[in-house]
Amino acid sequence: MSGREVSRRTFVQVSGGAGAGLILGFNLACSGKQAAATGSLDPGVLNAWIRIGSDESVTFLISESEMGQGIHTALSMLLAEELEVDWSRIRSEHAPTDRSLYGRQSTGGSTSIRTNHERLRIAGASAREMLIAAGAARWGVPASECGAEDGQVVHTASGRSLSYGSLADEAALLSAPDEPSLKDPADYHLVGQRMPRLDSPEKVDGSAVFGLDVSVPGMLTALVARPPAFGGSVGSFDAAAALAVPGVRQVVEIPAGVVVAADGFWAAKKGRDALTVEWNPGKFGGESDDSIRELCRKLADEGAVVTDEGDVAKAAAGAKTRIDAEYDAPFLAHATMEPVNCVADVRDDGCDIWTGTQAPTSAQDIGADITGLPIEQIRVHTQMLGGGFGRRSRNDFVGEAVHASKALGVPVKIVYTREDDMRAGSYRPVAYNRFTGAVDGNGNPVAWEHRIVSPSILLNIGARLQNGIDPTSRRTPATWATRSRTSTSPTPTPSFR
Amino acid sequence: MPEYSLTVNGSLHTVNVPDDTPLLWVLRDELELTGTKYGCGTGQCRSCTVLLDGTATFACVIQIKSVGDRAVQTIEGLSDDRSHPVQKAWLEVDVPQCGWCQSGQIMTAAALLAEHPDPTDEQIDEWMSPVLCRCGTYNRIRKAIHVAAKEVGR
Repeated sequence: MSGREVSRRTFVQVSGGAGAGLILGFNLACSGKQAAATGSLDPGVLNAWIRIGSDESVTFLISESEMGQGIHTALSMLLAEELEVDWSRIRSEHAPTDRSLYGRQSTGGSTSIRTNHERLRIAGASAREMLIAAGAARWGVPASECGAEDGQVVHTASGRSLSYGSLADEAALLSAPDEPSLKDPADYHLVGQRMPRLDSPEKVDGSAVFGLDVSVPGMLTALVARPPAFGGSVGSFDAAAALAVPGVRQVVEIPAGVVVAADGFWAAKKGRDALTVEWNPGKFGGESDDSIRELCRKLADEGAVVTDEGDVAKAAAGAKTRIDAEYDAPFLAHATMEPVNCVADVRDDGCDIWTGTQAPTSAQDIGADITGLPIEQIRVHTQMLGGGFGRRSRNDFVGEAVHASKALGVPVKIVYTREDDMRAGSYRPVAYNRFTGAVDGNGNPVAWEHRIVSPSILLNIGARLQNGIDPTSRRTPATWATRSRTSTSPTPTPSFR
Repeated sequence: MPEYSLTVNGSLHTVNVPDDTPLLWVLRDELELTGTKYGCGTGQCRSCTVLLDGTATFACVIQIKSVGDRAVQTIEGLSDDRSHPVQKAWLEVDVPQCGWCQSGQIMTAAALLAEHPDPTDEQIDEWMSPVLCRCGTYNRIRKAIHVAAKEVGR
């Protein structure tokens, strides 16, 4: 756990919709100190949801995106541990996108357990205490005489028990405890164990629904013809041949390119193949692997000096052994096994978005920006992600779908082909490193020069850098020089795993 | 548009699609059987693997006109209740991560076990390594196939 100071004070929203059983949402207040320290948290907006059906089903709505890392299972373990329910009764779903309940929803950077650990324990414990209170009230005994185990509220003295499902509606009417008591970790029976993944059954029979599997009534499937180089744009296009393909319904320009929308994927693909587009190449239209290599080498001779101590050339000249080396790493596509995709349905009264995204609230923001609708009218339905790796933190595909649906007036599913994924993706940055190192007769380093050229990921997310380098990342031997050059590249470069 | 009849998971279907439509998009867009996944469209990742008369085939490259009267089996038709030995083994070993490639993995494994009921590690690697998994579930896939082979052999 991080050293965050999190107040246990919770305020709880309770709603017991007809027959819905217990639905519990938490809003865990953060200390002002924490909010000030991170500068990123709105006060009081960390949440979780638990739903218990009168049929004894237990549904956890998880605000983190499941992309294979097992987070729905891991976070459900925290909830189930405190709630005291049998693992076999639990199912997990992606929570709705609602920052008033869950705060900012964004899954990445290996932060899901750290940010959810305490609030989900509190969520589970609070629900457990409400169920106990409901059972105690039914029996007319003090809650302190009752306990919870395996989905039952038990009154030890009389040997009576009531199931969670039978108490859920009553529990939903109670106020949540201010300070639910958390289990002693020594009493854990789930956390620390290896539990079967909750999402495995639906992934072995083909029933798991990923973004690409979503279909809504009246939906068209669309491929986008995008500029051949980043920074390019549509000059003109001739849609006649595309529209002549059976099944192609509409062709329309959006900021990303030209959308070919059809009854299904195959017609959209053939339609896009038939489309004629004249592209404005843009400032970077002439770039190639060779030109990027050349640029890297040129920039390595320039750039900002991060550290310059001693005289590397002199130290190297007098050393026993000198080694010069250079390393190139190419742009790499994330290549999620499920190519990115998004279904959007833009209407006058709202916008629904179905997609596998690592950043649902950002998708909501994009929907609001493009449609002009209030944020509450943008409903983002997160689906299973066929891999994320950072690619699905960048919601460019969401913007394309929203633009396309807005322009065409029908629900639109944007599909990336694998070729699109490679050509119009987001990439691990290209990098060029040039080293000079020298050691003395005893093998000790006497000189070290390192020149780094790479477009920055961190600059894009506002990290504090000094001349493009994290100043805490360097160690200083006797003679040391580092030059770095970072620049914003036209090629998108998000996180990559 | 031409009309094609095909048997999928034991049921006869009739579709009207262009003759060059890959079987994958007939399954996904026409029959709404979305368990078979699109990964590359060129038969290189094998996420779309289905069985044609029991033979593992890439649904993304075989065109509807070439399917003929061969019976198509997809992940949805492997069993009604996840009781196929491969599915049971997959659950026992907890193979999937993101899950996108897993239908192709499971269908390929089913075909492998039909031909080699007790495969060696080398046979498993030969059959399974071309079925791409970006999460890297290969070690568990190999383990699960051995588990399934034990049940098949019983």
